Amino acid sequence: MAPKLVKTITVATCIAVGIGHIANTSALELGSLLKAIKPVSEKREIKIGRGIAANLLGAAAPVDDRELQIYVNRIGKWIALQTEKPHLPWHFAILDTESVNAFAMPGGYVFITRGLLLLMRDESELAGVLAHEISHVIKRHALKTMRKGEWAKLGGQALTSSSGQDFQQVLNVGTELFSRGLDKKDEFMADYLGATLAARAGYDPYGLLAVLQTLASVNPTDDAVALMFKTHPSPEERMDRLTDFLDDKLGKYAEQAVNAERFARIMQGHMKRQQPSG
Amino acid sequence: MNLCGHNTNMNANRLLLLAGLLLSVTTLVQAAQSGIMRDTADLRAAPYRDAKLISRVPKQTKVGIIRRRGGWLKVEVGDHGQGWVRLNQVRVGSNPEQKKSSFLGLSMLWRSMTTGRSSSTGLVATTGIRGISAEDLKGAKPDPAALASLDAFTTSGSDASHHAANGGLVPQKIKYSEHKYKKKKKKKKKKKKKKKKG
Repeated sequence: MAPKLVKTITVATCIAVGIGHIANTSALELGSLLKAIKPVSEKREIKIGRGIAANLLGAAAPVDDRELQIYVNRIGKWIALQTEKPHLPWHFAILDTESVNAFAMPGGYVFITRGLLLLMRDESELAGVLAHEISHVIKRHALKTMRKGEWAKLGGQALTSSSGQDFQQVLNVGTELFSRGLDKKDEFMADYLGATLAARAGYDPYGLLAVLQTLASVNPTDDAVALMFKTHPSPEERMDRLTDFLDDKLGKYAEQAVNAERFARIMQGHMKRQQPSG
Repeated sequence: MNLCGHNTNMNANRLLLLAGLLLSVTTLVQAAQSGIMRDTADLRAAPYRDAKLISRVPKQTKVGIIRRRGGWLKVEVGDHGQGWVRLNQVRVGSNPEQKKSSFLGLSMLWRSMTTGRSSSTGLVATTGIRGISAEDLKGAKPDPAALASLDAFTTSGSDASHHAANGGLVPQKIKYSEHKYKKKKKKKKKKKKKKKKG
């Protein structure tokens, strides 16, 4: 009788909480779990993203080229329109640094470094990278990581707290996340989702694979790629998995647009404008 | 580091850069790309798995990259002639594995262009470059003005759609799909089957 009662209560608790896997958790742990799973509102997510973006821009400024920045925003927004969250305040930018990297912030801020842009060969490659970052935003991968493990102590509960001090903590943790990286599984997932979004947007989804091929060709000991290599699975492993996914799921979209000419025209204009005078 | 070699490269790059800016970056980027076979691989007559096999290209063979089509690269391989190999079988660049370059395509040109701005020696330093490191991120102070400046570049859905249409992009309805990577398992199974047959 007693075990049955316990079972009934546990089941009821699980139903009430809405998650099945915490059946053996003590009341105290349950309390903190409940706090931790309080959802972050979209308004809050955007505010957090803006704060982290401001921090990142303190490390590298946006490239001073309006035409290039608008081009990237047009492509990024077009891809974002193919997602379930077209309404987010999407902002895209190229950062003025030789580092090879790309960053996604909660709420719709996506940055690509010029170092990475200069390694690309056509618009489908740019679209692939933007779509990978957009996927991190859509799936809230950064917020998810901030809730997990040791991050939970630092930022998990502060995520939804109304105190200003807690908010600052969230921004610090969120910015530091770029030095630590997301869950590897989420990186693979963003490759698959990103390729899918690029195909939805009318691009050859193999563009992202072509970028990974280039990254796998870069000298991993170079300072320019150090942070990206540290925070992501190896480009070779990503390439093998993505090849498998693309051949299996998106092969028939391989003939879609790559827009090499439009990309080259924009890059040519950019390089002309940035060329040292004299 | 071979300084003379680098200087020669720099001069060549500068000429290429000028030519590139005058002509077309597309031609330049694609002409500048060479590659090395990552593994021994099949060279096929067309970009399909069941296309006619031209030959087997050994690992470490140097190839000229002509163009990409989906997951395939059209390459020029010395005596083997032209054909198609899988994209992931080729490493970009012509240096041996230990001396892989980080400056490929436009990046190489950009490097020669901007090095010219700050240095008269034309030397390429591969360390200590300006970039975002973990320390930079830790010490970064928020730049709200830079953040606000990004608002000027955002675009409306209709503008983005117009730009997409101009680029010949046709949206597709495709469902997200889960993917379980099991390439290694497949290989093992195949081996087992072969053993049984043998």
